[in-house]
Amino acid sequence: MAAVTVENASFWYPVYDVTGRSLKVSMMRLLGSGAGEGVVEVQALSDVSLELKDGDRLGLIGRNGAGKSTLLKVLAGLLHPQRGKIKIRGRRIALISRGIGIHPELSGYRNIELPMRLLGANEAEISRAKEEVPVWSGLGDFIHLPVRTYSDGMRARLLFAICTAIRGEVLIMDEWLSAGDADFVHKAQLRLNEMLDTTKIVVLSSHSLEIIRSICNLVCWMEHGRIVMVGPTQEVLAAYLQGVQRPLQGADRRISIG
Amino acid sequence: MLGAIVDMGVGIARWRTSAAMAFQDIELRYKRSLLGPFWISASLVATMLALAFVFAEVFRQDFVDYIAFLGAGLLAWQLVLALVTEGCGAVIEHSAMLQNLRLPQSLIAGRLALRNAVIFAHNLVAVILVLLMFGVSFSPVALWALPGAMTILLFGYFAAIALSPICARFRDIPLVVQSLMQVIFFLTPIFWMPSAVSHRPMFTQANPFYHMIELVRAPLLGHEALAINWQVALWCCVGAAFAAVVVSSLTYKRISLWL
Repeated sequence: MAAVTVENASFWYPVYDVTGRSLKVSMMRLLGSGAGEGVVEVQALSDVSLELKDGDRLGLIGRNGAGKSTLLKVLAGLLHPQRGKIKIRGRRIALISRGIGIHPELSGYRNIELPMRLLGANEAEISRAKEEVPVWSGLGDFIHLPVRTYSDGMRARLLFAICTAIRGEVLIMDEWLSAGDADFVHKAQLRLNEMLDTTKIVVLSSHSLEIIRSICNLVCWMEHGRIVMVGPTQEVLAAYLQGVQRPLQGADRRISIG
Repeated sequence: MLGAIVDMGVGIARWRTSAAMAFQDIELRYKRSLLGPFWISASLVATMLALAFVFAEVFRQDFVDYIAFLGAGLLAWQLVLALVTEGCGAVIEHSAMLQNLRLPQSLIAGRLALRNAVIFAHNLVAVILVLLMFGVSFSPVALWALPGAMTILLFGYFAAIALSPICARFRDIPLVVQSLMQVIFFLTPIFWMPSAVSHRPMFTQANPFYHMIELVRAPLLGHEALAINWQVALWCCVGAAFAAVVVSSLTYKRISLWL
């Protein structure tokens, strides 16, 4: 059984200015030269709690800067919240960005192994992908040409095929289903559904309510790094659509300097 | 502390990923040019020839003896230098990946060590060929250079884990280390003989890099490295490993904030 638990997680990004990255300047500050800290803190998540179990497909919605991506990266294990706890049970696959590990000088075929290894694939998955990706992507002989010679659509097909060749129990993904011709979108949808069907827990961040509606059975609405509402898709989306009509009150995020 | 050690273990367990990255680095060098990594060897050989022609005269040494000493020393130094400078830049070099993937430091350090192991093999072949051309002969003792190089690689592996997060946080440190390595090059007997300072043994004995270089150089010159060389080099590895664990446990949760 897979599970995702987030307990009162808070996270803030330190944003360093140029002097904040210098050891010399930092040492001088320690010696009390009285200059500013060189670090601005941006609160990205405040007191977020979530609990997901098998069969949950959670969609994260909210405006830009609401904390969706940060929460996604926290769940992916890329960011560690300064306060609170994260627990993930089950094999976690995080598809945050496409094209990591792809080298344009190498052929499509030679580009299958490394991205998959970086995502954490095992030997069986890699050898399966080496057979499956060239066929599914429909690249034909292009699979043996350097990726830099590919069109955007071909590149998208290759990346999509690679990313979806790995299966986990907990899937964390940013919205990245894009580009490619109409034929590809349909084909991609089928493959994505097949992937989602074999995954126990899905967390997806998207701006497209369309995608959220078609994939998720739960929605988490975020504003200013806080969860406004979590619940069944229809309920939360209805509230969200009503909510976004109202102009937002107050300052955007808490920024503390010093 | 425990979290950092687990993280390190995960990176070691995923050594195949490190290897895939390292061998891709080498493959790409061969793709771009026929000589591939031998370009690095070519510059090493050029340095070695130029220094040998001048300093054999300056120090009034027999040319063949001197070029063998210099060649073997530069070969080892090249490995140390590459590991330390690339180790400093490791997190910065992987910043795009680290923003999107969970990659332990040990996995990245593994890529670095394996890549440099292959480059060292290229350099070793090039230097031996050049020295054979000048009439230097090698005995089977020379094989001891391989465990010697492995010891340097082990040191570089841990040094990369320890240095790279600090260098990502404080961007002026790689520059400091770079200048330091330049100074160390002159302070270490590589182009000058340790016998020149035999009246002041601490000049060489207190320099850990001297001992590391001896592990590779001595066997290539036909005699085994001394027990003290091995002891110091291995203690350096232990020290670097300790530093790696300490730095990791202090930084592994925050590295993604420094990219």
